[in-house]
Amino acid sequence: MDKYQAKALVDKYIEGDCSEEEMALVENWYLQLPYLADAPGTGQIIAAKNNVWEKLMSRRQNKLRLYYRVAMTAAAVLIIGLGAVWFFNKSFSPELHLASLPAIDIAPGTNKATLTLADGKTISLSGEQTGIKIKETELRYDDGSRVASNSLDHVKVQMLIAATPIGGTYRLVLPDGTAVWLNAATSLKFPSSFKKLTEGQNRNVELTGEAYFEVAKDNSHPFIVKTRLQEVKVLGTHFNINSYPDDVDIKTTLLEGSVRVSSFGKKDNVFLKPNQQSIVTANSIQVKTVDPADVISWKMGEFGFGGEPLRKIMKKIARWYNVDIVYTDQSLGDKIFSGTISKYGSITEVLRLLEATGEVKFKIDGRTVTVSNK
Amino acid sequence: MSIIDYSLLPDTELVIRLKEGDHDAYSEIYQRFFGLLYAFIYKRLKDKEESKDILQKLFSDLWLKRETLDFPVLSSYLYRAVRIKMIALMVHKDAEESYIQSFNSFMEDDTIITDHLIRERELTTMIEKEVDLLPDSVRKVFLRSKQTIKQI
Repeated sequence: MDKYQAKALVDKYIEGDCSEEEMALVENWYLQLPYLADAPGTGQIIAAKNNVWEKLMSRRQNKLRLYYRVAMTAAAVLIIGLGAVWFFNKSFSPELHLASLPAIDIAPGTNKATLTLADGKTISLSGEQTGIKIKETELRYDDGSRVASNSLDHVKVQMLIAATPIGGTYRLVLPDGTAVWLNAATSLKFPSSFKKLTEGQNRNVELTGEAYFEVAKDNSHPFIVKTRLQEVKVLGTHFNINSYPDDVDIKTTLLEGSVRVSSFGKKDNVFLKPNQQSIVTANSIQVKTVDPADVISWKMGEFGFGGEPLRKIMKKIARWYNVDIVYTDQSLGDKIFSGTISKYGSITEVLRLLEATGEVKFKIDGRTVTVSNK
Repeated sequence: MSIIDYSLLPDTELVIRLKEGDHDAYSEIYQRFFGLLYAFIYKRLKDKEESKDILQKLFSDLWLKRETLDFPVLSSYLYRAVRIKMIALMVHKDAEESYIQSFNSFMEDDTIITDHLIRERELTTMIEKEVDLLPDSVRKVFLRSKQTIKQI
């Protein structure tokens, strides 16, 4: 390969246009680059760090004036992105129909959850905190502070229920070290300790709603998530389950490792590989390949929908902003959109982006959102 | 005044806040990753100014494009950005064609890892193993990020 071919290959790599083989070639070369210098000392690193930070900050001052333009461009890119993937191949209309969106806006959801103990006592978890850890006898927030009025009976194992309301999200670390992110309107039932399990006994939890699991590895105690219609069995892996009661199907998406999904209705099992999703209904199991980034976007603070019908998208919005959705024409719910939007904006920001496709219109009245034809 | 201690937040929380335009989250990401990335780049380029330029561009992009950035893991995003910027620099400023030569001889001799998940892990390890060689103060700041990941 000569100089020009090598440069052309590298340019393709930088643009992200490489084939899988070309990418492997460039990255393997990069992996074996030799050291030309010894590790820099503390003085050199700190000097470089301060120097670059100053440059970044002085450029930021100059850029403030330009910021509005940059922000508008970014917004335009997002809108075009959303418009461009509109499946019905209608021409993109840049006009916005904002007249129907009110001055009083609806705020997004936040960190909110409750924990219910076996005796029925319910503890509200702090909104200042993003998550809690459940240890054998105590509850602590992520920052190490204790959850008020907690003391778990360390003699008896009791069932606990962590629940998020509509518009709430929270993260839990279970006593075995498994991390669970709860999406809005979700509840998880789990034991206060997994210590007394005998060899081969399962770690059982029960889920309603949507959660992302990073299960701590423990080969002698399989982890089982039970929902209506199905259960998922794993040893240690990352996956997402969407099992809202108002959806007909239950979707389990695997990011890492391997899981077994068993349908109660069909009395059948499937094993998922990474990037696969099982869809279980009362009498069927299907498996398809998906982009897991879309599935777990909620955990990253986004609404992500990869070719989803508006009806499903509006359900997510309803659960996050605590609103009711009304359709003037039911067939609108079948229109398909793709895109990603931050979850932490107000509801009008989200609806505005959907309106910008020129395909639907929204009206907000109190806590009711009406979806109508353009 | 903020009551949140950003140094305790896991990377995932920092990313959420960064996307909302929280400059303190941006500053914490810079604190965590600058030392490691700088040491990694400098050892391979042996050029202080170019190492700094790469990181200035990288962190400048991180702020400007924060709202549209789409990545599941902050460190993977940063390592990838470093990789692309280093490769571009090496090949385009390669006056003596030493990188091109190294690239050519690499292709003749070496076996390559084709599985991209394994390769991705190697690309991460390659940077993170630098951590052990960092001066104490720089290492501790970076390890905050790792600790929170491990706890989860």
